[in-house]
Amino acid sequence: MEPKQTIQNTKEGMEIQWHGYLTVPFIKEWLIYTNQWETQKGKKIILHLNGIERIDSSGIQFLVFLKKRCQTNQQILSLTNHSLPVLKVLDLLGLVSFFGDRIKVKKEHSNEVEFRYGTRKVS
Amino acid sequence: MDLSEVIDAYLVESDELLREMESILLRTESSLPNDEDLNAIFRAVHTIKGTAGMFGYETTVSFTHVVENLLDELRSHLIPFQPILTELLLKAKDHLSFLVSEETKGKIKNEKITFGQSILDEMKPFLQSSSGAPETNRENKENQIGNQEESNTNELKKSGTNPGVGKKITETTSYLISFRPNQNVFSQGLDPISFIGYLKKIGTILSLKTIDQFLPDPIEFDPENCYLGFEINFSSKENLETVQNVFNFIEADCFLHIYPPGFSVEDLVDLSNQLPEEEIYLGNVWKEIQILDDNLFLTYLEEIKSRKTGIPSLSSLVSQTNQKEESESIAKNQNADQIKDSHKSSTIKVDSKRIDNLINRVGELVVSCANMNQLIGDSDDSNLQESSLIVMRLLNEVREISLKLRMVPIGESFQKYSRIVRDLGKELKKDIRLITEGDETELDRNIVEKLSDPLTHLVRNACDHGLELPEERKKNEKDHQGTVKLTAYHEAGNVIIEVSDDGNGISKEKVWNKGIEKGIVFGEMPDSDEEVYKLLFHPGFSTASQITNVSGRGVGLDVVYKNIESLRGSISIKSIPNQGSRFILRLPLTLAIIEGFLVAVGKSHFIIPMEMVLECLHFSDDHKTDSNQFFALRGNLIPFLRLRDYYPCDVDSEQPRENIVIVRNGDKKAGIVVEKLLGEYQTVIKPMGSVFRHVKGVSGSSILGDGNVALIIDVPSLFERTITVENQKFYSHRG
Repeated sequence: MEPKQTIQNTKEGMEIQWHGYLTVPFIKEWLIYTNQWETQKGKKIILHLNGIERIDSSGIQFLVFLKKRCQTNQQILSLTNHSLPVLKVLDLLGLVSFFGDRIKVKKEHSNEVEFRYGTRKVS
Repeated sequence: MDLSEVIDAYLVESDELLREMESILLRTESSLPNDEDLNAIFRAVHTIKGTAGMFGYETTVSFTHVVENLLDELRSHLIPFQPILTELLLKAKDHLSFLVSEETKGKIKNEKITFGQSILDEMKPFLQSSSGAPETNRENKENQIGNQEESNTNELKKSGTNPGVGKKITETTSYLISFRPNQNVFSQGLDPISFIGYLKKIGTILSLKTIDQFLPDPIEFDPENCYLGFEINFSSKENLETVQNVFNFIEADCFLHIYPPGFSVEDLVDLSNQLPEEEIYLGNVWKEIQILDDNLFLTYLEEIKSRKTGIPSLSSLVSQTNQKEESESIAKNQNADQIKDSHKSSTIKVDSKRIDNLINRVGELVVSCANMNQLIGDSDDSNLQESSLIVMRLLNEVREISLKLRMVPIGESFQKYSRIVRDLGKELKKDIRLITEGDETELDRNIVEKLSDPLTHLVRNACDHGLELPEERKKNEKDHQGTVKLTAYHEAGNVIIEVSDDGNGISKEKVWNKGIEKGIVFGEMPDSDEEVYKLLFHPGFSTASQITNVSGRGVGLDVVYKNIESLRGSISIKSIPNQGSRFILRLPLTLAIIEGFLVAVGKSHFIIPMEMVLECLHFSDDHKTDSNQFFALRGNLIPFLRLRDYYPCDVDSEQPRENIVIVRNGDKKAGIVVEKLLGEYQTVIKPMGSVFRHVKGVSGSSILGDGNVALIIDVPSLFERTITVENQKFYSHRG
């Protein structure tokens, strides 16, 4: 699945809609796009993830990497509209509290994710 | 990583599990499944799902997922078991066995996926009808688990009030798993998440922390490297080995450390020394995932400090004794588990080719030992003779053991016929029950495999031709349910397998008339049942008036006959009108090595299979009768033949003295007249070249110790040939 990004600049920063696979072969391409973020110091970056059809360890590592990078660049990274594959991995790896985003779970997906641990904020 | 072997193991395992599932499901038709049955079916599907998941076979996983849900509800008694579910689950089993084998070969066609979906759709009503109730139940269950966890932590806290003493961390079944994939795992095609996901199948991940300490700066970040690590608080009833097995495929490409329940703060300090992260950071992580509570965390810090300064902490001194006792009790528990498991692992899977190879080599050894024995027998050295006897005895034992390696109980292959009978019963609208007897009878695996087709054919025949429709059975005052019976037992070095039914039997007249119609035979029907029934094995012979999906096309019994013949076996038929018919297959135990009786005619040697030899006599004038076909033995007339008449041999210079070997074939006795009796002889059967394939009466050859060749006599076929020749004479005489 070819990766596709639609970038929209807003007053507060930028909103990006992501599509495709967030897996090893595609992440290098994502990385090129993310270099544009450097110009957005101090602004908010919103990633819409409902288009992510598949995500693996490297994909989640990439999201963790982006979050940390934004923190050092004093940017706010917020993930939103999580697709089910993304939710499942965040749930499994207990990373919900790390990203700290609000998560909406569709009713039909409520059986697939548990959020039994890792939602607590790290002290 | 070479996956082909692992995939083979997956296929074999799945096949076994599915077969087990099928046999349980078939049992449920007569009696409702108990908890153990439901658990076993659930386990089978669950295991397949788990393994398929590890290979990334998504079609199989998504299919099994729904089936598993249904089974889970069944075994939790959220929905009652209904007969219709047997049908549905059997269908699911068939589809699953297709998916398992096909997905390993590549992508599955869409129509097959749709077919699978249609089965799942059929299951939906059962799942949905119960969705209300079970959810709450499930929640309750989870709450219970949650409460339990809480109370455990409470206990920990209590024990932690005196940090100096309480060093044991978990009393629950909670494991600590430290998992650090190597940087290159992505390039190996491994996805660490899938292994963690698999953990959920054998237990509950109580808590997990993803370690991102080693994510590099943006410039150095290479998305193809893995920088993440995981600390997992994992609860499971499985033993350490099973938990370790989850990480089998990635073991070589990661740092993995699993502490089984009952580890101490000291263990954690040891572990922190092996991990790349700082001790305090790790302590915090373990606190976060509820491995350490506040007090234990302090003990942990204290322990680290004392290690660094070299001064033992107070707590470690106090707890040393406690710890020893604990580790002993844990060891005891683990021992008990191991004993439990040892029974399970008492069988190993070996490639059948290896066993064949071994048996071949043992065969060669038998031949060369026979040769050596002959040479030693000629010498006068008694020591040498004695030790050669010992070698022979040991060799015999090795031979027997290695032959046994290939023996499998026939019951396993009998099992699959219950499904065939069940499906046929539905198709033919007959109520049929299959009874098997002698399931434990052992037979050479190669023979069992080759028997599969002929037996299937005979079973199908019994269902279709043999058994009548229920109405007809009622008219004949029989039980409306017909019976097909598979029986296996040993008899005189042979294995007998019988396929019988309690149908209306085979009509001799019908068969004979059909034979005349086809121009195979002519004249009046002979008295002997056997001769008439033999016509059934004629190619293209069918008495069925109707061609059904099942049988009646006239192909089959001749193929059955050929198959059995190629196994050096024989087949006979018994039938009683209105009581049923019986197909009796007589097969040798093994194909490789036989105990033979060596005889000679002139300068040629022959071997008669030992199990058929009853006795040997001097063929004196007392035995001879006027007829040249029978001889008198203790008041009985026994037919005989002279080997010399069938296999012209050179004549020895001296006048031969005739001996007779009395053999039995089934329940009949007969004599074979030979010239020399040379005694018992163990021999390896060498197949005859293709030129001699059609030679009747000889089943193979063997090389004697002195290098000469001996032919192995196939007693049943020799006698059959004799009968045919006599019959031809008889008919030509009459004609």
